[in-house]
Amino acid sequence: MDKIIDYRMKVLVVDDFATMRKIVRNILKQIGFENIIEAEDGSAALRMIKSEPVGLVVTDWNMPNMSGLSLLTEIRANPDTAKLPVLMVTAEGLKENVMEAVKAGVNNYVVKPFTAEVLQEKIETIFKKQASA
Amino acid sequence: MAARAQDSQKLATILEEMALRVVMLEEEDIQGLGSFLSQLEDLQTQVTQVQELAPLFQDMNEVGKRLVLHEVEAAAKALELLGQGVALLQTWVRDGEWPPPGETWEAYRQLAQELGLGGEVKQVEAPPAETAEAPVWDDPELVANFLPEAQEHLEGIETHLVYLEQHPNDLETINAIFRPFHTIKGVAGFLNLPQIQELSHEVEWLLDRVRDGQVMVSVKLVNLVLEAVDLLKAMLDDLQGALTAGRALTTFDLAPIKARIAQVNATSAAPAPRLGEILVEQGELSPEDLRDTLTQQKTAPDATPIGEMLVQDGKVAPRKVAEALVKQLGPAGPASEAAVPETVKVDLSKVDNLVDLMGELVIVQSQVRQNQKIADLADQKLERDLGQMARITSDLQKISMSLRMVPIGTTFRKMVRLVRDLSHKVGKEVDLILEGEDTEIDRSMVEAIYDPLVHLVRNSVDHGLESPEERGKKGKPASGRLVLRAFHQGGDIIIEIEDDGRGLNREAILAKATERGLIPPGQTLSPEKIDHLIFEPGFSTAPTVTEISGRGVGLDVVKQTIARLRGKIDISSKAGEGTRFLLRLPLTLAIIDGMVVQVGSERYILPTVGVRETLRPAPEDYFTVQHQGELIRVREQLMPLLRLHRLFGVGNPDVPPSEALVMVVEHEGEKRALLVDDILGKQEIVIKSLGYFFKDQQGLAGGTILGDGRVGLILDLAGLFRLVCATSDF
Repeated sequence: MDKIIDYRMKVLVVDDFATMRKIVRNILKQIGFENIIEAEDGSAALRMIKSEPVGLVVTDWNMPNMSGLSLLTEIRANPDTAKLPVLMVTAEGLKENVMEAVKAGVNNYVVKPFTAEVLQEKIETIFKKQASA
Repeated sequence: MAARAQDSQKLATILEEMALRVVMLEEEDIQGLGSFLSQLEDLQTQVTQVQELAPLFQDMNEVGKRLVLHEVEAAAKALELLGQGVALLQTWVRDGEWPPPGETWEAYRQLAQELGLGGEVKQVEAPPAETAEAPVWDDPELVANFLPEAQEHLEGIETHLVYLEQHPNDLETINAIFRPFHTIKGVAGFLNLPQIQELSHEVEWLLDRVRDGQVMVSVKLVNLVLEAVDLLKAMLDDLQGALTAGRALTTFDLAPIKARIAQVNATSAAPAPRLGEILVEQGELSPEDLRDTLTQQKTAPDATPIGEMLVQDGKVAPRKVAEALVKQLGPAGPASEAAVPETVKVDLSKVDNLVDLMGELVIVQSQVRQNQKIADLADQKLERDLGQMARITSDLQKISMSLRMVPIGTTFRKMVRLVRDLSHKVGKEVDLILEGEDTEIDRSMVEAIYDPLVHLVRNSVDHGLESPEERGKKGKPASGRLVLRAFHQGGDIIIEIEDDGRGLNREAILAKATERGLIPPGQTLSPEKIDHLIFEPGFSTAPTVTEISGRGVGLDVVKQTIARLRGKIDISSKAGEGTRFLLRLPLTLAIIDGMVVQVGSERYILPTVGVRETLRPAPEDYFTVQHQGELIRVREQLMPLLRLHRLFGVGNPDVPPSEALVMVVEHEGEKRALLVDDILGKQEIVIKSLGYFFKDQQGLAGGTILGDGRVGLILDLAGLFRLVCATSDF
């Protein structure tokens, strides 16, 4: 399983709340990712995706300026990034958001609070799918 | 009821793709499910007119949703149902018969029943799997980061809430209030802070219902959320305390607030006012006409909107309908937030260090320029390069200073809550208007002006503005206007607090001042002088001591604080029309504009702001008066002479004033003549503290390093004036 994920890839964490970014960063590190960058909203994330090779986006949903959904739509609309894996972080009780995101083409989602194991599983599922596609 | 031919070709293509996709689907393939469901949605919008298909789409959507949300135990069955649904649709497109005869339909219905579909949707509990035991983040740093961030987010909520109270339908504002609770809840879940999580969850849930229009925005709701904000803040404070003291968290009693949330939640929302009702209320439409049109609308074959019908019948002008529609939809939200520039958070001490070092660089740079040996080189290129370097260092210094600058908006917005609470308490209606929130001011200044600002705002709400009844009698609008305004002028920031209340009562002020012995009876004062009396110590005009202003602190404290910040306070007032306080403050406390003067072998710096004029007195303008010391006459005005030579014990203590220079300085309306040997120049001075041992030194405000590397002492006018009062023989 480990071979599926390249742990040196750049993972972009998008959340307007710095503490949350740090938490997600810590968990990603725990999983084994070494190269983690952060953006505090969708528009900043888009700029980063355009300027550096990002392998996975882990984004929060409810953010000011540019929401996670708009970010996802933008990523999918651009042919260069249309295949970029996007993992959505959501909260319990916001299932409607999940469905909207899923229809918009999110690769997977994870419910807060989550453990490293859960996140790892989700990320593995994403890359397993990509490898078999 | 078959689809039309050209459409059915398109439908068949989509269905074929879906059929291919559905066989590949797996439970964990979120993305695959997503594409499938999105195609299903497309399909559905194309066949909305075929109502018999609606239950099938509903079932398939429901199953898809359960798969995505892991709410289905028999995933294989669910996937099978999706496959059969597609097959059924394909048959329908081909044959145009619904439900299609045959086994597929039977099998589908069987599956749907097993999955508990059709009409009554079985409630499936969310699996607890992913919300399993939250990891305990034994990471104090993370918690320490969380605290200020959470506080910051909560600050914003208060402003939004007050805005929401006035614009209850503004979705963007509701969302802005919702978001911090949502985020705090999320983080609290990770940091294992169950009580913070619980409370923010409760509020989040309540706000979610507001967002859905199920709970109405009311004063009660706003108060409740504000209360929750306060409680959350208390919990965060407790967390802070627990963190520093290494103790356990206090357990808060959340039951009362939860009960109240449930109570507010139970009061369901009133429906939005109807367009016709609004028009009737505005007198644009008679109730009879409305009734007629409504009856017509019911019998009309196609559903024409009421507004359109009214315009067609010529009963209401199109513009009026448009206006009513705008009213129905509620006012537009706050001007969409300007694009937020990207920011980096930096430790303040680093910025301070940078500012400090920049100041020294400027000094060293000028030392190099002034070095005689370099000047002797008389090299043009070197001269040009040095000039260029001076410009760059000066720019750099400006930029480094600007790093410490923050918009004053944060401080202003704290007043929003204050005004709201105050006005409720004293039963007044106040429209608070903030202007120039982006005006920048030094960070240290922001903290320093908070208290004076609170005081002045309190004063305006409590004394300045009248009650709604009183305002009504005077023909003013019931709610008073309070404007907080900030802008830059020269090197200063100006803050104005303006109300449209009753204005100052000069007679009462005069009477009170005379009674208190602040002025001798019978003295005539200019209106400005009278107004300024309210800043005198021991002055208070409030006839009754109210909860708000009766705190034993008068406006004199405000004046002193402002003076300490090297600022000025001014007041202008018109009876019956309002009062305006004007604060003029330097942008920073770290730099002053100073005049460098020579006294004996030493150099001192005088804050330029206090210097009125400089002159060399004629011998006949110098007087010695018994018990009053030496005096200097400047244009028929006599003022005490202060010899800096004697005060600091440098140079010739008896230098004749006509051979030296006199600097007329003013502080709090009093003037003094300072005797110095020479004026060396005017420059920006970076203030350095003299340190602990000299903190009691009167007459000195600090020190600085001058261009040649020597230390210059900065004079403190207030201290000097006090010294002169104590001993008049300088």
